[in-house]
Amino acid sequence: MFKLKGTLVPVLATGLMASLLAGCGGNNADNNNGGNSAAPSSSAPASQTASESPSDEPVTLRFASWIPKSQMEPLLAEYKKEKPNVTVDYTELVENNDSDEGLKKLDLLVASGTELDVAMFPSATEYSKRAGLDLLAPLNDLLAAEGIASVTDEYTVDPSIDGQVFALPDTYENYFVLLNKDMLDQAGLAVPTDWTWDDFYDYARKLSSGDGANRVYGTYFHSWPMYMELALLNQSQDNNLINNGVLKVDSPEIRQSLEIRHQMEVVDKSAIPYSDTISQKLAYRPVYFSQKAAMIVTGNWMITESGGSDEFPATFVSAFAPMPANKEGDPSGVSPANGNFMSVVKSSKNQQAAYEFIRWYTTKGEEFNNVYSAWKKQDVDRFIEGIKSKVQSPDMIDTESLSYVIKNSPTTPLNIPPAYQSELDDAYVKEAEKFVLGQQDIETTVKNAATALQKIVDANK
Amino acid sequence: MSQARIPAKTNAASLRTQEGRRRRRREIAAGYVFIGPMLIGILLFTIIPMLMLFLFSLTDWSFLTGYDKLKIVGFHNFSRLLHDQDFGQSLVHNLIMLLAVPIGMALALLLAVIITERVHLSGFFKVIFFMPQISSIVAVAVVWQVLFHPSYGPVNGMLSAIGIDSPPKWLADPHYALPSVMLLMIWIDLGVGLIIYIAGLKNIPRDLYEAADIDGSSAWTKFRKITFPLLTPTSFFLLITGIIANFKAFALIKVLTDGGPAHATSVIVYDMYEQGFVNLKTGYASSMAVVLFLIILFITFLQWMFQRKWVHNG
Repeated sequence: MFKLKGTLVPVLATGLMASLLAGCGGNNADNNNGGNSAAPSSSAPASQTASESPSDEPVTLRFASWIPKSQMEPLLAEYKKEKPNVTVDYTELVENNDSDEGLKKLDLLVASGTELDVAMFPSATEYSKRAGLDLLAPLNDLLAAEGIASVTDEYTVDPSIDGQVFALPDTYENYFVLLNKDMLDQAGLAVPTDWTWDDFYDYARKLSSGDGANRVYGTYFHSWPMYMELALLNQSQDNNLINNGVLKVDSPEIRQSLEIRHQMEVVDKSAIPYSDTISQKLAYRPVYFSQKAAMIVTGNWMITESGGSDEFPATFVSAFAPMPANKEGDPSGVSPANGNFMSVVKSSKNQQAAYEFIRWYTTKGEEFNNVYSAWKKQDVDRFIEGIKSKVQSPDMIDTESLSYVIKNSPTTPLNIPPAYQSELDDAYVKEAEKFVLGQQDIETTVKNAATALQKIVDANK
Repeated sequence: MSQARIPAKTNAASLRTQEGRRRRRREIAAGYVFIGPMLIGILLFTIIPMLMLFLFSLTDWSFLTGYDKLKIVGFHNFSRLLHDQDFGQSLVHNLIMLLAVPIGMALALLLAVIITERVHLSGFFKVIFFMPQISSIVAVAVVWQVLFHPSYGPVNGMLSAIGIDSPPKWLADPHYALPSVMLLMIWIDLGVGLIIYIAGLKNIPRDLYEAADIDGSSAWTKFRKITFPLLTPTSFFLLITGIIANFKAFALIKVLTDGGPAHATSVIVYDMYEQGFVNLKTGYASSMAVVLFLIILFITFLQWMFQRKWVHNG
């Protein structure tokens, strides 16, 4: 512990100093350029007649995110072909593709007054947090200028906060169940297309075997808050802990979510116990790819990975099933939509150019990348084909079930979480953990969680 | 400073005094030049941030936004802290964790006495006990995680082999997580305490022990009447630094438990990190830092007050 003494002080100091500098440098820039820079700039050559495009003068856009530079470069080269006058100066924030760490660095960059035009956020929560801090430029005027009346005409996700659009949805994430098809075949089970949590229990029981350190489990719930709310997030309405300012903790959905964990981890022993998950800091990729668990509830970033990566080669066929429904008769496959979001930074001096870039990136750019995006005009079959042509072992992706899941997953309107969502998640997980670890019963858990969350809501009013 | 008066005392001519003064000024200037870099460093990276911290603790602000978004809210953050149950819990955890300091010191003292007096190859043991201190905290924590695996770790394997039905789940059990962290903390810090105690032991004059031997005292009496009192300055040093470091424990908790399960291992510094860098509430986090500062100041002050009662001054 002695060596710790020194570490925190510099960290804090850097943060504070950074903010000091931000205060000095960053403010005057956005006043002059805060509005719509689409107005023809006076320095443009007079011979230029086109009034719509601002000018062809060279523009440099600064863009930073956690995505590896090697992955970004082909895309930027493509954009250069589209718009030769625009250069995107890309900064890779972290080396390991870790969006959480990248976000912290992005915050420090912004705080230190570094001029940045385009920013990317890995989730709606993070996006709304920064929009709440007034760091992002509203895009409504720019969208209207392009003739887009509503973002939902172009994208499957509506990212607006109180009618203001601060970001365009980029990648599109929804949730489904990823299954080890080899293990299903061995157990004589079919890939489900319509199922409930009871069916899920049944599958998990049949897929569990072995004892002690060698036990293979039916499923694995990662340590993320969403795995404590499984029966809430598959609702087509009000699928968050808080919806329009109203808490949804004391609800049948939360009770069922907790019940799922208890049933599978304690009663059936068909899920990896939570005590193992947190004490060993388990991660879902090694658990799934080393066949410690046969099914995981996960999102569509795992589609590509199920075809194998350098770190986790695919040694078995993966199939896809929709999210289970809470009870018979409810539709399965309902899942909240999330994903990356791209924004124009409020202090940017090149708002028009930055907007054009993110418009391109979130549509044609992601098509070029063959990423499952929130753009409505994307072609699903071509997308699957594209994925299979790129992965290490295309045979390990079950096309039929994948195509079924993508085409039959009704999506819910994006619930923009409040800026204090992570506080809510923390407080809820704290109580839910006690239940999952057998420290308190379900009613106490719901009661305590409701009280704790209400306090947070009140404090943030 | 007092040497500077010497030229004046020598009754020299006023000319010489003037020259002396000039020389003195030059010496002082040279002194400042030498300590300058350090002084600037401390000013920039410790004093100014500390002052800013006190200012920020009175505001509702996020370090991401510019100063135009800074809102002064007076002592609102502190009154909120008073009602913040999580913070209260963290404070209690901090206080419980302090127990690790005296326990660790007692262990270190015991081992130091054994190693200096009764063991061959004492250098070997010093290295062994110092190992965790020089290893990366992350590596140490991972080894610990595996040893204390709740379902099939060696520790619980042994416990169930000797007939304990449901051994604790250690890091995954809200009741045992904090003791587990403390255990690891003691183990990591043992080496430092040990080395410092051994140095202290070497400074105790041998003739005291010889005199005690002639009087026929037992080993326990010798320890109680000679070793322990003469080591009190060492103990005092270890106690103060240990308690301060203990209050600031962060890396270990971040790697081992993330403050969980169910906030069972959260401490003030961890809360501060969560609020300041995850929830982006700089003002609120700053007020936590101020509270932490005051607590450490108070405890250190208490220790200085009471040191006269028990610390032996040569």
